[in-house]
Amino acid sequence: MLRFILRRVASTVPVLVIVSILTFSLTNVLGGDPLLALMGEEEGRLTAEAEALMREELGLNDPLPVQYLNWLWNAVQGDLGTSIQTGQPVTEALMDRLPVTIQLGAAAWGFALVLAIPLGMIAAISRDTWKDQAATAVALAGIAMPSFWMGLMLILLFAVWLQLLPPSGFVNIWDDPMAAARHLVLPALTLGVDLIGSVARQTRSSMLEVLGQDYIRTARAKGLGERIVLSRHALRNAMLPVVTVLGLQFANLLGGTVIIEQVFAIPGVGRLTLGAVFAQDMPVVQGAVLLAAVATLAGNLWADIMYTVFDPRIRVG
Amino acid sequence: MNARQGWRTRQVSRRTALRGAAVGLAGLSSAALIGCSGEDDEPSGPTATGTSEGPGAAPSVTTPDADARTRGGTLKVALGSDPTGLDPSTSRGGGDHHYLYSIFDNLVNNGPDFSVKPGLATEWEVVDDLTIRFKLREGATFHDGSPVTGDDVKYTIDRHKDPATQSYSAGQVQSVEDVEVVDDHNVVFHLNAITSPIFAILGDRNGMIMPRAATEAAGSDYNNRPIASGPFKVDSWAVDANVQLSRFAEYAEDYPYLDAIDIQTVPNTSVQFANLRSGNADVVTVDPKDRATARTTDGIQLHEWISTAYTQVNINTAVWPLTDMRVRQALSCSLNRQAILDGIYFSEGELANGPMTRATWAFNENLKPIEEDIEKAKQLLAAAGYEDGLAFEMVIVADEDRAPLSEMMKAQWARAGVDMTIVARSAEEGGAEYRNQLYPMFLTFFSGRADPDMTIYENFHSTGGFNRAQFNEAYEPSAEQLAIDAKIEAARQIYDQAERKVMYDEIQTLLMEQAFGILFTHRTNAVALSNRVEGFQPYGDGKYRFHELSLKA
Repeated sequence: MLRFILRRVASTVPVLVIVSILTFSLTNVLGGDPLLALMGEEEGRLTAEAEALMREELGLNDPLPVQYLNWLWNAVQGDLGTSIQTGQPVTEALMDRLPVTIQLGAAAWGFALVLAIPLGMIAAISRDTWKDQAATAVALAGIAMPSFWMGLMLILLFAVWLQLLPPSGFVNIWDDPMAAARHLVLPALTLGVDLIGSVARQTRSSMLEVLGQDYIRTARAKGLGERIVLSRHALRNAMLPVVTVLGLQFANLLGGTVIIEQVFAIPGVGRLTLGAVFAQDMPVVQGAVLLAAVATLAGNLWADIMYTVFDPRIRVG
Repeated sequence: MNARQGWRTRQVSRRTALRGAAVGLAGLSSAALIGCSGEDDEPSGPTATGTSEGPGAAPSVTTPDADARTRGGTLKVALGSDPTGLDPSTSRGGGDHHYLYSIFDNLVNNGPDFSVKPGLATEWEVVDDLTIRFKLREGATFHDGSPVTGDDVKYTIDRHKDPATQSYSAGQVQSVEDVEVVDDHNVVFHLNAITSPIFAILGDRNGMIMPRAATEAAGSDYNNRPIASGPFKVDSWAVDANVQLSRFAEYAEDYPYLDAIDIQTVPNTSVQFANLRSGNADVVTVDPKDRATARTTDGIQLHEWISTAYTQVNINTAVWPLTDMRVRQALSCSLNRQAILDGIYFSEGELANGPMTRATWAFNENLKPIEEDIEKAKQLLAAAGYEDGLAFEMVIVADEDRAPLSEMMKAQWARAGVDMTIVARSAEEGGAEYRNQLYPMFLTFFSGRADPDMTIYENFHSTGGFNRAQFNEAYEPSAEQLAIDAKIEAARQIYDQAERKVMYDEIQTLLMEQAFGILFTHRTNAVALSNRVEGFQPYGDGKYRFHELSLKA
């Protein structure tokens, strides 16, 4: 098992290098001067002398390949550079923000698991009844609705009209768990709604497939209660494709935080990334993309490990 | 003019209602429009000497009903972005002042209509054209308890000028040759050129006084938690989350009123407004697109007032045929500005009659906006040799205002036989490509400055920083340009505001008649407040002074 994990981790290294080269080239091909971005549209306020000094300090005078190799050399040593905008070390900025995004992502994932799997099961068990249609409609709506708009609607309903939850902001779970939960409900639901939709649909279809299998008929024939049949025999086997979806959607979830953190004013990695892209803050963009790549690979790794939990045959292979 | 209907103050205390009545009586004079109350009726502007209106640590704007103001409470604010920094030298964003003005005391303050108000300096004297003496308030201290001295004033200016600081505001104080420290409470500014906007400059970032010892000790961390002498101290700044300020107890016995200010960063304007409506914020800015909704929302206060910002096309007068005044005039008079105001800016704002808006004393109330006249445009083009039409490219920043605006202009110009091609860019690229002479026109806006010289010199003098013609090798200023240059330089040589006003009136008339720029609209600001907020005073610069506010019990 350990060897399996190590092998998977080692295979991610080339992927990460390619990702970093692609990000670096893309950001530079797209053009733009981080110093101009720093100054904004009414640029020209920095005296020429100060501007030259700043360019030198930021290493913007080096040729691009040199800039990239410098970055890579430092990155290997755990130094992702410093933000052009704020002067904060990128590693520190990412580590500050990561716990926030993890809390948001975990809550969204939690919503997906708690809501989507039962939804999918109900739909499968009551196939072609109104319950199935209702569950499918909810799932489809979740996938189809733009999360940006949905977030604003949730704020309007729960914060402005009902005044049950705060409209935006973030409280760290260690500081005040209750306030943290209240602040997390709306953004996590908004972030998770797409995931809820796809997991519910996946659960439904793979449950239907499993429920048609011989061993389910055998289990029922043995006289097992429907509850046992569903939970112990059907669900466990139906979970494999669901796990795949959950693992693959991990990257989507991370992508979603860029928008959701902006709407709900959450100081996470997504907000950091978006701000850095607009400001052409290369070191931060590089670091954030690298982090996203790591997270995506981690999501896949998690899915691989979960397979072995649900299906012991995979462990042997 | 329908735009004026926009300037109103809904809901509101008796005091504001009285102020509203004053607006009517004053015939929409500029001071009344920006909501000055009676205490600002004193003579404005840097006259030969200025004095404080009150003893001790009087705030820049004293309030007659100060005794009636409730003390205590935390003001909750939702702003669209973090400050770019809290160090006045290295911060660079137009929104930073919302934070900085509550944390720092300026040497002098810019009043609501840009007249000069006492700050740390209670008195000043223009000794001669190149020498200005300031007398500092006694007893003022920094947040760390150390006294505010003349040496700190010198340090502040020197720090901006030192290239190693990389100050974005260094350019403004280049004419300050030296700050002479006479004693702890007296400094003399020695200038190397007459600098009439010097008071406005000192009312902005350059005049925010920093303590030498604490600033040097803090190093780059000064940007995160500056020590200053303003009414509020910085408790914390969590990037992308909030800035928390608390009352500086030693500032004055009865000022400021609030215990704390909690400024949350909420990027989305609709969510900002939701925060106000749900009671999670007391102050939010209202975008033009949301003004109509805000006006019909119950239970809030809405203040709208004119800003210094204007929207315009920058014209590179070094590029043929824009060198020809008749071509520029034709371009200017073939536009329908009212249609632009209504269609693009939701009728929020006013037609521009020149670069100075009603927010400043230099607004020319007698100047009319350029009127649409297609026939005249055609005649001007024919006279310039373009009876068969004219084609050129205009670079724009592809945002939600300017993309549709450029389409509208293209259609309007087409009626006069002008074929304009739109080149869409990001904000940074647009500005840079225009500067690098790739395109002769740039659809942009200017945020405006506290002093007319800062706006007019930088944009319209042949060597002004924002006049991109000067970067063109072929540039030879026209006779008209040289005449305007001379007038701009002359206006700069005078400290008397009334005299300067006459000169800027003429300069603006020439700039518009000879089409050195094509201006569309003057913008308005709007803020929505919860009903518990008291003491809001709109400033022409559009920056908030949170420290002046109080909360009803």
